[in-house]
Parts: sequence; C-alpha cells; structure tokens
Amino acid sequence: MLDAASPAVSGSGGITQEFPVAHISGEGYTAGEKADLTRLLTEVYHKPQFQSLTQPERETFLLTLAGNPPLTQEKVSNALDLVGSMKDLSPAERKGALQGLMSAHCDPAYARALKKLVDDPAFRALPAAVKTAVLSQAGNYPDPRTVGNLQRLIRKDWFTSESLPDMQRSLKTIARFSHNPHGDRGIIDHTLDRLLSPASPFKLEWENLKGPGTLYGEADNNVLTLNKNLVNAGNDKMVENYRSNHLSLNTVAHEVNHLVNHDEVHDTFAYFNSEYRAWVVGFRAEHGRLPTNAEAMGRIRDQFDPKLAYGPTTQGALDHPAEAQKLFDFVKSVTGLDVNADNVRDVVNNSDPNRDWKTLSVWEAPTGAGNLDNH
Amino acid sequence: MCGKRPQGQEILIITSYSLSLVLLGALFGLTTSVSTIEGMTMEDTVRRMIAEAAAAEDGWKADEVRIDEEQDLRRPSCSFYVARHKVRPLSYVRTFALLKDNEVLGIGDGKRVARILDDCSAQASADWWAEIVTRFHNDLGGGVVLHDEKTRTDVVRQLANAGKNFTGPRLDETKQCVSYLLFDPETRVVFRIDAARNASGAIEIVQSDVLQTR
Repeated sequence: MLDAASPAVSGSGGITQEFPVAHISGEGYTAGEKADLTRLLTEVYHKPQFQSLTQPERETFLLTLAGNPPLTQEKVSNALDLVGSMKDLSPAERKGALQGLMSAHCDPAYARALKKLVDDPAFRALPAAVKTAVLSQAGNYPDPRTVGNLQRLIRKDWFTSESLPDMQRSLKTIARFSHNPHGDRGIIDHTLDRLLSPASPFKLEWENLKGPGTLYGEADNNVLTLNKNLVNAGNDKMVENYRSNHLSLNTVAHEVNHLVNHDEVHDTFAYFNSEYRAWVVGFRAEHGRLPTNAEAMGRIRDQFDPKLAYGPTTQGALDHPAEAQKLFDFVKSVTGLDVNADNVRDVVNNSDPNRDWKTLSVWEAPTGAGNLDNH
Repeated sequence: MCGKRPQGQEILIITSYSLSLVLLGALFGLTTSVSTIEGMTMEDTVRRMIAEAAAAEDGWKADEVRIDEEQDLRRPSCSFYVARHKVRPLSYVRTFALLKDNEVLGIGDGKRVARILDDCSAQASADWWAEIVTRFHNDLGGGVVLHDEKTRTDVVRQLANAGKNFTGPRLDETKQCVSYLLFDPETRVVFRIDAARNASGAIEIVQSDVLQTR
C-alpha cells in the first residue's frame, strides 16, 4: 500500500491525487505521523471540552480529527474551542455542529466561524428548531464564508419574522448561493451584502408564485420575492434540479440587480438593456464568466419574442427611430452584422452564428450598462 | 399516457372576478362586441375585467396591467388575453381565457385546463392545444412552444447537434393527449411535454429534459 510520502498518481494525466481519508487505525500514515496523531489525540482526550461530549459525540469528533490529515495544532485547538461553545446547545444542535466540522474536513477557519456563530447572542436567542436549521445548512454548505453569511442572515428582522419552513428556504438559498464555487465571487459577495448588511433595506420573501416554468422570482420596492414551490423546506440540502439551481445560483443575483438599478418597464432601449444586464449578472453569478455572444443571442431572442414578457416593450422601442437605432447597434455589437429596421428580426431570430456572423460566437458578449455587480 | 375521457363530468370554477364578469354580463348583455358602459366599449370593459383578474391573481394594481388579446388563440367560443405588468420588470406574463359564458379563467390545475379545452377546443390544432396547456397549467405556466423549426432556430440547431429530431406539436386521434417540445427561456432547457387526461378528466403533465442538459 502507498504511504503518505509517496504521491499517488492515477491515470489522470500525472496529476497528483489527494489521499483518501485515512482511518484512525493509522492506515495510510507513516510511522512518524502515527506517533504525532497518537500524541495529539491523547492530548485531546484529556481536555475538558472533549470530556464534556457524549460517547457518540466523542467518536464523531475523533474521527473528524483523525480523518483529515495532517492533524495540526491549529485544527485541534479550533475544534476544541468550538466544542467548548457547544456545551449549552441541545443534542440535535451539537450533532449539527459536529457534522458541519466533519463536512468541512476540520478546517480551522470553519471551526472559528462556527464558534463565532454559536456564540452570537442572536443565535442563542433563536428557537431551538431554528438553531438546528441554521447549523444544518452550515453543515450542508461547509465553508467559513457561508457560515459568516448565515450569521448575518439570522440578524435580519425579515428572517426572524419568517415561518420556520420559509426560514429553512432562506437559509439553504443563502447558503447555496454563498457556497457556489463556480460563480463570480464579486457578484455573489456584493449581492449577499445587499441582502444581509445590517443597514440594507432589502429583504427576501417567499411566495407561492404560480407557474414554475417561468416564475422563479421577482423584485420590487426593495423586496426580493422567490417562488417557494421551487425550494424544499426542511434541514436537508437543497434538492438540486434545474429549477432550484437556477433560483438559488442565478435568480437571486438577477433580481437584486433590478433593485440596485431601480429598473422600470418602458418602451425604450434602456429597459431592454435593464433586462439584458440583469440577465448577464445572474449568468455571471451562476457560472463565473461572461456569456458568449451565442449565449447572449439566446437572451436577446427572448427579449424580442412577442409572446414572452419583454416582446411588446422591445417592439415599442423599435417603433421609435432613436430607440430602435440603439437596439440595432446593440445587436450589431453581438453579431458584427449591419442591422436595420428591415433585417433586425431576421438577424435576431434566424442568423446562424457560425455561418452568418462577423464576430465569433464564443467571444465574450457585451455586459450591458449600469450597475454590473450589485455593489 | 393517453386515456379515454371520463363521461358526464362537470367542472365549475367561479372566482370573484369571473362572478363579477358574469354579473356584468347579465346586467349589460356582455359580449365581446360593441356595447358600451359609461363611455367604455365592451372591449374596454373586458380588458378592465381581465386586468382586475390579473391584479387579484398576482397582487398587481389593475391600472398597472397591460392587456393584449392573443389573436392566434381566438376560437369561435372563446378569446384569450395576455396580461403584463406595465411598471415592474417581471419575467412572466399571465394568460386569461374569456369563455362563452363570459367566465374568466387564469392559470390553474389540470381540471381548469380541461375546462378550457372542453369549452374552446372544437376543431383546434395541436399547436393551439400546446399553447393552452403551457399557459394555463400550474405545472408549466409559460415557456416557448416549439411549433415549427423556425420558432427557435438556435434550439433546433441544438437538438440537431445532439442527434435529436425536431417534432412539432402532435394531438392524438382521440384529442385527449397532446405531445410537444417546450423551451424554458430561463434555464434554456428543452422539455418533451406529454399532456393527457387522467381518470378524473383533469389534464396531467409529464415532462422530460430532452437534451439532459441539467
């Protein structure tokens, strides 16, 4: 069997692979690492924080420490500090906190963030079921930034006035949006600041919005309203499907972008731009990159489609020569084609990027104008 | 999933706005033609009632609702109107059916969709059926019905690249089941929709991701 000093190389182009989680039996460790592990775990055993744990909790705690090598003094001390803050929690809450630590691979920064959360008077003041809900999502989406965002969330009046199922929806939506490793970090953080900063007037509400096929959320008057039919309540992870993915990773940023830009509906290019820009912001929040020209043209088609929400206002803009020219220029910026009143719908609906365009379909699309990152 | 339609079923859905429209019709002989109420044409009156229906359904202000008749959906016994918000940047529209008894119906469950089909679908095409199911069934509520290969050329190219054949809406011979492709513009997912009557006569939806994109 390979030991810890030998990088394991699989058939993956020579990329060094992480070792699988080692067992407390010492499998996979060098003799020196076993000695260090034994010494540190022995020290842990005699700490009062460890002694305060129940037997099943002790097993979980030791497995968490031993299963995430290398076991450093920082990991041990931060994990013990967390356990020290757990003593007044219920068994269910303690279980949630320990499972979070395990899910975070005993990350010291995560342990510090979780301790800060459970020490927060705002957390201590929550009903037991809500505390369990908070710790569940801290464990389901285990990174210190997300724990910090959950701590900000529980301080918002709009959150504490929600029903328990809606609190669970808010917790998992904020946690999943915060935890997205593929998204644009700047947009995600700015969006969360908009919702969670102490002074922010924005609030999140959940409603039974009919028609899940098109209705993920809406924004008006500083309120982000999301469709409760698309996110399950409960303390499990968000059930992941194309709709819950879109709502939690994309819609939140898209709709907040409408709020920060104070967008209103008009028969103008400015409104066309508002919808396009908010779409780009949602896309970047989800995918961490700008859309390509080809992807953007899909959105532009939606905004020209007379049967969808935006079609009549786009037609209204086309009816005014000055506004229409701005639309033509915008479509040209994507396709490279000369666009006018006679061909704009043909270009939008029927042009083939690879055959007809003078730009490359894979080039980055325009961003639109306005506040582009929800700052 | 196509089955025979149960016999003898009656579905009655009266909402506050439909009731008021019925009453209005009784009082003023409401039709979609030309009579007037206090300077309004009957078409104005109908639009106002539908704006109020949209306001009641979605918490909008009636004065902020734009109403357009969807001419493509008009049937001899029914007409259809699309409500959009004139101020707020919303991603969706609402479609309302005005039935022959002057009842107004919006989005609802499978029984409501069946009611609209029962009242309005005589001689209607598969394309029309697909639009009604898409707009009025709670499980869908919108999207782009792919009527032909020109509806969304980019989506059809995407299907072709994945080795999938495009098929337009198809209605079975008994007119109890419609099958079609639906594009969700928000998630860019293409669904195969099969909508058929269940044992109680309500329309049930089965949807599958054609390209398995998510």
